[in-house]
Amino acid sequence: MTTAPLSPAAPPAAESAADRWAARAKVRIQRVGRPAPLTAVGIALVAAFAVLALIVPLFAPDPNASAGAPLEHPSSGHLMGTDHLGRDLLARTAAGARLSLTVGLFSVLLGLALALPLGMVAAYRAGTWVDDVVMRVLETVQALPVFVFAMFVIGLSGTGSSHVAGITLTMSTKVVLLLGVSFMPYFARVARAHTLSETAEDYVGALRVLGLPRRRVLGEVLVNVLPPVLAQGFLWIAIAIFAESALGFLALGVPPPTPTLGGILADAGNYVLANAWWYSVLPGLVLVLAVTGFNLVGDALNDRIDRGGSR
Amino acid sequence: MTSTNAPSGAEVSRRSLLRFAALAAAGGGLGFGAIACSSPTTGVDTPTGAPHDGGTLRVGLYAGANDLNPLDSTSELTRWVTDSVAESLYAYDDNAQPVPLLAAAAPAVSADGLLWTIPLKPGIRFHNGDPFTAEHVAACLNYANNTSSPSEWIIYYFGYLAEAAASDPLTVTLKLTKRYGLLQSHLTNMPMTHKDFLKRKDAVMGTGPYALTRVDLGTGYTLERNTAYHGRRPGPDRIQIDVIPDGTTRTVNLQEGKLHIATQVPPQMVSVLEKAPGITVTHVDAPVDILAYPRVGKAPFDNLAFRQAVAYGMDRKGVLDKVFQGDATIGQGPVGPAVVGWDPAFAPYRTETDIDRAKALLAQSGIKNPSFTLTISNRAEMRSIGQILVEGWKKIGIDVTLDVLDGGPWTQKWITGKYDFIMGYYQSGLGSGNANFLLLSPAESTNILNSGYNNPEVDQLIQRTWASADPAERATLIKQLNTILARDAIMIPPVYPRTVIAQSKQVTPLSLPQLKLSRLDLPNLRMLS
Repeated sequence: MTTAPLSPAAPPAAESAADRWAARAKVRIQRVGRPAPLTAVGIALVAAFAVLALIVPLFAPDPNASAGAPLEHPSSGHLMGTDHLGRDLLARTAAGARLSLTVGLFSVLLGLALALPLGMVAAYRAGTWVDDVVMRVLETVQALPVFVFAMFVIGLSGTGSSHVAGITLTMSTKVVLLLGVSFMPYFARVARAHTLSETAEDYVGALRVLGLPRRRVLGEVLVNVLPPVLAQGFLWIAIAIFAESALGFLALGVPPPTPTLGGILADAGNYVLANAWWYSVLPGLVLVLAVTGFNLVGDALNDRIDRGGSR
Repeated sequence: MTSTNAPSGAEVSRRSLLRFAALAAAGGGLGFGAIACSSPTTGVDTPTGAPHDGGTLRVGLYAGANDLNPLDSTSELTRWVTDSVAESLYAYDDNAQPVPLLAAAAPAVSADGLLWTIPLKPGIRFHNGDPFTAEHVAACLNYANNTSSPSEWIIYYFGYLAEAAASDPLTVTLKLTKRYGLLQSHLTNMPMTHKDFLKRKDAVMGTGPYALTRVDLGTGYTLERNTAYHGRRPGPDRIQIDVIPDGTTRTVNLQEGKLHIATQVPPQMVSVLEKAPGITVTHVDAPVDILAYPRVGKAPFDNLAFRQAVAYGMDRKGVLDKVFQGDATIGQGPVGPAVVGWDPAFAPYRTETDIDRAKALLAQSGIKNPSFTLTISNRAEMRSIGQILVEGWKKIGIDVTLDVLDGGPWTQKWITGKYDFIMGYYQSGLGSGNANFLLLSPAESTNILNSGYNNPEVDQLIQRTWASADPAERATLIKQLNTILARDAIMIPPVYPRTVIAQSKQVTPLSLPQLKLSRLDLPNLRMLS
């Protein structure tokens, strides 16, 4: 004989779902581990930068429109003050951060998309002419400093939009292409090194013995090569953000009035002695903290993958 | 199994490095802020003594010249270095009238106006000891008039000068194809160099009070006093011209006593310098122009109503207040307050943007979804001007893309006409004095810089203006030209900026009449004890 439960069934079921979720989260945290303090700082900085880049522009005024008097101090009306043309500096910094983040992400993704197949093929055909050709070409690209490369490309194409084979390339697209191609050799070397290490593993030999086509074998290898390459890519987002800003600072990036962090800093440099400290310090801090944040998180990711590899 | 977060030695090292970098950046930021908040100190003591000869005069320029040949370039970067080295046949007196310098007298002009004879002063020598003769003058003029030479002076002579020749060692004759009353202005503005230096871009030799003795590419120039100079003894023994691209750095160097003269003072630094002890800031209306040419020969600027809409929709006040801190005059037509033909009463464009009128003209133009590219030269003021104008035009419904170009590509676009609307900053006074030649000439339909504008009335007025030898008649004609060009929105500068030069009180003041013609006149400065 069964007895009816004394309490309704629903509440215990809800509790158990919450418990199950908490338990699962606890297991995940235990598995992943509590982040080191510096990593936590890095995550917080990246999150803050992401909020600035993605959320603030939704509420901020038009970054190109005059919103007050030139060089107003930070106040409740303008949290970061105004620039020399009376534009809201927070809105411009947020728009610049959005551009930097977009360029950073897409240039790294482009670099990865180009480099990963090249690095893996070179490693898979290590010692052959394919490896030689791929790596020598990439070394040639690597030998060209990114800013010299940028000056060359932008000198030829100008800072405006370019039309190539019926396709219009905006300046931000050109910066993405430029940085992506510049980063490619570094990612390819990482991909090649990890592929070389993986192809020496027993499972790859087994797959070959089983007669799997090369494409399938490389697909299996990719699963193991991808995490360290992605971690490396995360680290390079910081470099991409910095490079985009540096190009903007040198007037080789996206032209005005589109705000870029580098462009803002270049303009702000003219007002340092005009007692407009906020103009250069606040956007400068945003850039420094964003780069530091991506570096810390990328570093932590690398460490974790290194340890995973060593286990 | 290792502890989840236990770092290895290598990890600690990398993290330490990052921690250090973060701390250094934060410290640097705070330090930078502290510096920015503090008042700049000055190393300049205000002198009280009498002017004396000798010493080294130090001048800060914003860029180095690509070409040091003043027969190639009329840019201030070339001329402010070489004006003390190579002299002209005539110089400007304090009333902006030409007076003989290398010439012995005013030109003798034939009755038909087509033959000019210029006597030269005897006994003048170049820095290398060669005598200054008519052969050198003729070589310079023919070089400037040669279409295959890179000389910017071709614009001034082409179509007018048939040939320059030396009749004897001290007499030059100029054969013209048509009357050219303005020629003496060109002979006052164009320096004469040694004929062996005509094709040199890295050096210049003239008869001036200083010889160019050292060129540090991209960083500076040294001029030494010419002890055999034919004129009044120049003041300083040496002039050191340093290239300091950053305006703030130039002004700090001036405050610290490392410079005596800072050119191109950024507008935002003017109030800082005016409060600094030992510094004088001079504001003067000089022939400094914001060249502003819409490409009249192609859409959308082939439409008069559209051009006028663009002209009325220009945020002139924004440019005046935000870029020049009020230190400029609202732009109307091509003729500004520093040049012949200026009429302060002529003001078709208001200080405030006339949005209603601009919108009405835009509607009248019939152009749907209007847009164009504004091509500007890459300097701080122009970038700011461009952004303000783009925002202003957006308010009347015109979508404008900004194209920022460095000097070479910008000039290339101007010459080839591959632009919609081009703007640049130019010291026209060094080539044209106060005569407006360079500014107005492109309005003539046959001019190589013409933007596609073809108005027979303007062509005729320009011909008459340059042919006239009577300054009063020229002024009247230029006023008429200015009215037409402003009305047709052919040349529409947003403002006429003033020239701002800051100098240390350790030297005698710069000559105001010469500054009004964009000349620095460095040899006449004297150090004060």
